Amino acid sequence: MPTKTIPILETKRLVLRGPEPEDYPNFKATFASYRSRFMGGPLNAYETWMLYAAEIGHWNIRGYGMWMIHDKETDETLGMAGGWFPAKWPEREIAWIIWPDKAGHGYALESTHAVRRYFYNELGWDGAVSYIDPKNLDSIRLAERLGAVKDKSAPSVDGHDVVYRHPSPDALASSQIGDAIEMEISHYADPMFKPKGYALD
Amino acid sequence: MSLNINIPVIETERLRLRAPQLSDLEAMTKFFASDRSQFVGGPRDEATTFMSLTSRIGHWVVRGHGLWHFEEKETGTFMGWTGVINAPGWHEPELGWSVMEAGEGKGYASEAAIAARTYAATHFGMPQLMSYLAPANARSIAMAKRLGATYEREHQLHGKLCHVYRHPKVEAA
Repeated sequence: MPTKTIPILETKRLVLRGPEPEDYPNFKATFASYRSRFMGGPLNAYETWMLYAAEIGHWNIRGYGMWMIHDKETDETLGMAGGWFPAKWPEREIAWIIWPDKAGHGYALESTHAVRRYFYNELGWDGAVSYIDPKNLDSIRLAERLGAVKDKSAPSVDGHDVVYRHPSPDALASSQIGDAIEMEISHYADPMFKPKGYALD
Repeated sequence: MSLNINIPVIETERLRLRAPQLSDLEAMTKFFASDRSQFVGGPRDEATTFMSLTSRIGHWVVRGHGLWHFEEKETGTFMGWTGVINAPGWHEPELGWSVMEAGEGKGYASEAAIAARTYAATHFGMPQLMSYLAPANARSIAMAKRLGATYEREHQLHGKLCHVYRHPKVEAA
């Protein structure tokens, strides 16, 4: 079987690479915790391991998947972001998770913005959704900052999630959303800027 | 970066053992929806089966060994899987197998499992694997015995009782 190439995405502060076996302990720590309650967790040791293996295999089966987010300077992992499309999923999803102790720095915004651009520009996606637990206010807030809007008419995964529809490539290119995201990311990257007021990923 | 997916292809007289692929999903889903899967973690719905498919590939990446899917050489029809499973809860690597309905009664599972067992001894440094078998899974127990495996002891796999069958020591090919 040929070796599959997973592209490396670089942003201002982050490097996104495919999930590797040595990244597993960080993934495991999060999925064993309450933080993963909106992602189907917490999971036991077997379920967590199988999910990680499935994250890797998704790249091979679909040709895209979830990247591991690394700090560009220290290389430590911060979470995951990318595309997710299991069987029976109504549409391709842009998904993310940030390790609990790494939240609040805008890493999810910076990485999801980059992966969405990659899917639109390199893979030719004409749109995407995010399936979010209605109680997951941080993720709903992030979806909104990404310009996604609630789509009440779109089918959800299992009726327990809400669908946020991302702006199309054209809408993203022709509106100010892209600029606003870039500006917010640059604020996060600026140590003088301290966002206040709401929970952030 | 490249994802190091190195799943070897093995050919036997009638079968080709190769990586799991998306076109196998339909037959896998049918298998996991049926009673045939009752001794191997089923039943599973299609979404869970998809996760099984993708996790099998990840298993190879993480462990360097895993399950092959095998197809009939002549027709290319996906007939089942075999190989080495080593996930949390496994006390040591296991030689596992399942055969789809279409491949039953032809000795395909044995043919594939013997090839996988030899490959594991030769390339994975696993000369004497064991298999977990549900005590009620008479057909697989009969096959394990035909392969020369013998009952060793009981084991609890994720809270379910199973029997450990030890395979004979296999010389590296």
